[in-house]
This record gives sequence, structure tokens and C-alpha cells, in this order.
Amino acid sequence: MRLGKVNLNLFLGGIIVCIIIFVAILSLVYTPHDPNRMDLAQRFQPPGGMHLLGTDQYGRDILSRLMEGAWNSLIVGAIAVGIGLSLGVLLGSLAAYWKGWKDEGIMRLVDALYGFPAVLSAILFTSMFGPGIVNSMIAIGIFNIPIFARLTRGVSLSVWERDFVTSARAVGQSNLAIIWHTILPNILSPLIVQTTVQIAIAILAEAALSYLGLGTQPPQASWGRMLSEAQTFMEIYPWLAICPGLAIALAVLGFNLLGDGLRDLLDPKLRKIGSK
Amino acid sequence: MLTFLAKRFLILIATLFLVSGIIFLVLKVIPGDPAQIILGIEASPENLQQLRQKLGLDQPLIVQYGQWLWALLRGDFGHSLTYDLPVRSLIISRLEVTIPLAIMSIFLAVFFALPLGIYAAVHRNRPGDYGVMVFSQLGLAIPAFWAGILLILLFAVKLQWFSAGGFAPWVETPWRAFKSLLLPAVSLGLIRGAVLARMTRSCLLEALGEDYIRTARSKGLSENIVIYKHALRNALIPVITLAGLQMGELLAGAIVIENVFHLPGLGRLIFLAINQRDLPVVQGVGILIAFGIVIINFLVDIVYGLVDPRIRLREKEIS
Repeated sequence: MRLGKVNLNLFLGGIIVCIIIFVAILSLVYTPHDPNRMDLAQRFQPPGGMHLLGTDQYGRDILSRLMEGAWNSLIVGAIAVGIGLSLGVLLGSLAAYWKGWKDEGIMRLVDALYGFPAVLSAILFTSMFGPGIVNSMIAIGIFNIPIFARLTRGVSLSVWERDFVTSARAVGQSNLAIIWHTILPNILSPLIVQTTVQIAIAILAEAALSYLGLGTQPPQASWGRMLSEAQTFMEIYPWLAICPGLAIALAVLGFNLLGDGLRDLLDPKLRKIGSK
Repeated sequence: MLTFLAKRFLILIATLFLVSGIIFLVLKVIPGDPAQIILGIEASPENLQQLRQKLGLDQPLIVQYGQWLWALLRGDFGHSLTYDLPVRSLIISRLEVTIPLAIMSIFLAVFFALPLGIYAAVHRNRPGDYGVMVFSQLGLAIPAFWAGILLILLFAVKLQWFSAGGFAPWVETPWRAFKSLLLPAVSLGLIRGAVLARMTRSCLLEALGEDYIRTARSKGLSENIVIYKHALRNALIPVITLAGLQMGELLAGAIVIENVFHLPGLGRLIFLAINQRDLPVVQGVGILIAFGIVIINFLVDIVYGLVDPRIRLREKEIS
């Protein structure tokens, strides 16, 4: 969406993402209250007063827990997408470079990984190693591998046919050097856009896993876990379920808008379609 | 055409083979002796050895995989440790929830997304279009399980039109069964609807910019015929493809939403099985969901290839 010459998606998405990153980093040094401190005398306080967003069933400050949850969500999102990005780009680049049966082999493995959505990989991982934040990062990371591998292979194939790659070969550059110095810089734009979108999906996946009790473990705060705990009391204290849900939706919206905005900015061909 | 089908089918077999291999290996890595888990810590070494032999655990890994795969092909998913029932019968009993839930979700998504997407494309850059775009962004951002919680809060707690969870079997009270799946289906369908509305809008806009549409307009055809008969027909191919792919995703999405609404479907079954460390059930449901996704993707590929000859030609060029 464009408003005059301003890329509205990029602008709004950038602001939301910056605020969330700021809040997440701030939570490492400052939160209004200790996010894990229980105070049974202050249970179910409504929003306002000492506790801006109220307290939960243990008297813990919801705002402080949301701030800590922001850090956990971002870390899981960033590391999980980092795992998917690095392994996916490696597999996709090798497939595009090798072609033939090696390409087929890699792409079949990628197809097989497609059969494992984040929640399913996490369930299998949990049955192996138990629930936890690290396992959820790996599980969401595995889910991201085929997405980046397919994207990298798809866009790399056409870059390998370009004249500047032939020139690089003619001056004696090794294939590895060509991939690193020539191919990767030319496929960076779609990768950046996809990374932003995948972080949004990873935040959603982490929230879902924590909701099921497979992700971030107590007493660490997580938006998904806060929602799961709130469900028991939401009939009487609805704000318990509304605040963490809004936080997840805002974070995902921010990264999605940023992804759309970056796509408009970096890819003129997609910009033409996107602005339609 | 036959080459295209044969190639796709071979790819499907290879992918299913790899998926089954991944799940088999995953469950082999799990710490602990399955014989010990079944017989308990007080079992004698002789009994443990006998059970290991009976289960084929003393065989080489590749033989165990072959036996497991053969059993799987015959529909034998193993035996549940918690329920003391064949996993297959547990799965079959849960399908009456998960399959209708997936179908209702995708139906709702398509039902709302198509008119919204068409309206947005036809009224491009007008308030209605912006409204649809905002709806689709919000739909993408709201987690399905939060949407479920909010729907419970509104329709079950406040208005009391629906129950907050649970499921009545179809054979006993079909209407109640339908009602108990409606809110979960809306929660799951919301995101899918948002994606489909965006896709419909963008594909229809692309189709409306094509030369054949200009020709149709220059022939003096009415705008409705141009849009619905010419442009929409072509624009719908990728939309239907996406809807098909989302059916696969719905199987996984059901794991979370069935837990929000306490529905006794496959998602709830696998979730409870993890907590009970009932590995045959985890393995059985896991492989069913993964196979379901791979097979749905295969069918979508085939249908896409059949309706759009460019896909087949491109494959031919690549090979």
C-alpha cells in the first residue's frame, strides 16, 4: 500500500518492529516489576494503577511479562529463521549449482521436510528431547529450511545463466567464490523479504508451541503460554487473554508489513504487482 | 502428459519414502528401551529380551525399518501403550472430528475470501479495497488459537450461542456435532481466508491487465462477463491451488485448535500422546499428518499441471 510517495507498509511495519525490538531489549535491563515475582495478595488486579495492564492469577505483572515475552519471541523467531536461512540457502545454492541427480536428491529431501509443519516437527522433537525453548527453535528452524532452499534454488538458477557469472568463470573464479561473491548478492533481495515474513510466521509458531506447553517453559514468560494460562480465567478476567494475543498480533503484523514494504522497495517487478 | 504424471508419481513415492525414514529415525533416537517402557522397571532381563525379540528390536536398523514400513503399508500403525488399542482404530475414531473440521475451515475460507478478493480487485484503490487489504493483514496477524479464544469469549461465554468446547458425535446429534465444529472452523478459516482474499485480488488484477481482457472489452462485452467469465476463470487457478495446499496446513493447524476447543480429534490425540509418552501414537498420527500434507501437495501439483499446460511445458523444458 502506498500513500503518495511514502511506502506505508514499510513505514508502519518498520515502526512496529522497532518498537517491539526496543521493548524486548529494554526488558533485559528494565521491567516495571519482576516478571516472575508472585504476589498472591495482588492476584487478578484490573488494568490501571500500580499495574498498567493488571496482574495474572499469581499476582505477576502482565506488562512486565509481556516485555519479557517479547524478548523470548524475538529470540526464538530470529534464531529459528537463522537456522532455516543458513541451511536452506546452503541446500538451495548447492542444488542450483550441481543440477542433475544431486539437485533432484536435495529437492526430494526438501519436499520431505515440507511434510513437517512447525507444530509437527516440534511434537516429534519434544518426544525425543522434551519440551523447551531450544527445541522449539530447532523445530521451527527445520520447518524454515525447505522454504529458503526452494526460494534460493529458484532464483539462483536464473542467476547462474547470467553473463556476469560467465565472466567470473572466465577470470578463473572457483565455483564456491562465484556462489559467495556473485550469486548470493544477487539473490539477497528476495531472501531479505522472505526472512522478514518467516520471522512473523516463526513468532506465530513459537506462540502456538508455548500455548501447547512445548515451547518456552515456566517461569519464563511467553506470549503463547500467557494465553494458555489465561484461558482458565478469561470468563471473569478477559484482559488476561486479550493482552498477550494483541502482543502476538502486533508483532506479526509489524513483520508482515515490513516484509511487504521491503518487497515493494527491493523488487520493482513485484512492486508492480503488489501496488495493483 | 503421461511423462508429467509419471515423474510426479515417482517424486511422490521418493518423498513418502524419505518422510517415513525421517519419522522412523526420529523415534529410534528417543532415549529409553521400548521393551522396558512397555514392561516397566521391574521386568526381568529374560522377559525384556523376549519382548525385544518379539518386537524385532534385536534386528539391524534397516531390517527394523523394512518391517515397520511393511506393517505401515498394511495399515498397521502399531499398538498404543496408553489405550491398549491398535493405533489405527484410535486414528479412525478421531477422523470424524479432524476431517470435517478441515473441510469446514477451507469451505468458510473460500466462501468469504472469493467475494472479498473479487470486490477488492474490481474496486481497486477505493475504500472497499483498502478495507479488504486491512482485513487480510489482520487475518494474517491474528493467531488461530487466539481467534478461537476470543470466539469462545464472545459466542460461548457472553452470548452463550455455542458451547466453549467438546464434541457430540455425528451419529447421535449431527446438528450439535456441526455446531461444536463451527467456532474452531472459523478460527482456522480466518487466516486461510485472509491469504486467499489477497491471492484472489492480486491474481484477478493481473488477469484484468492481460491482452485478452482488452480484446474482450473491445468486442463490447459487458464488464460482468469480462470479469466473471474471462478474467476470474484464469485468476482462479492459482487460488484453487493455494486452497488445496492449505488443506495440508489445516491438518497441522488442527493440532492447536483442537486443544483450544478440547475436540477429540487427531491433534488432541497426538498432544495427549506426547504427555503420556505413547510413542506409537505420536509416530502413527505424525506419519499420517506428514503423508497427508505430501499427498495433498502432490494432488495439487497434478491438478495444476492438468489445468495449466504451461506448468507441464516448463517441466519439460527443465528436464
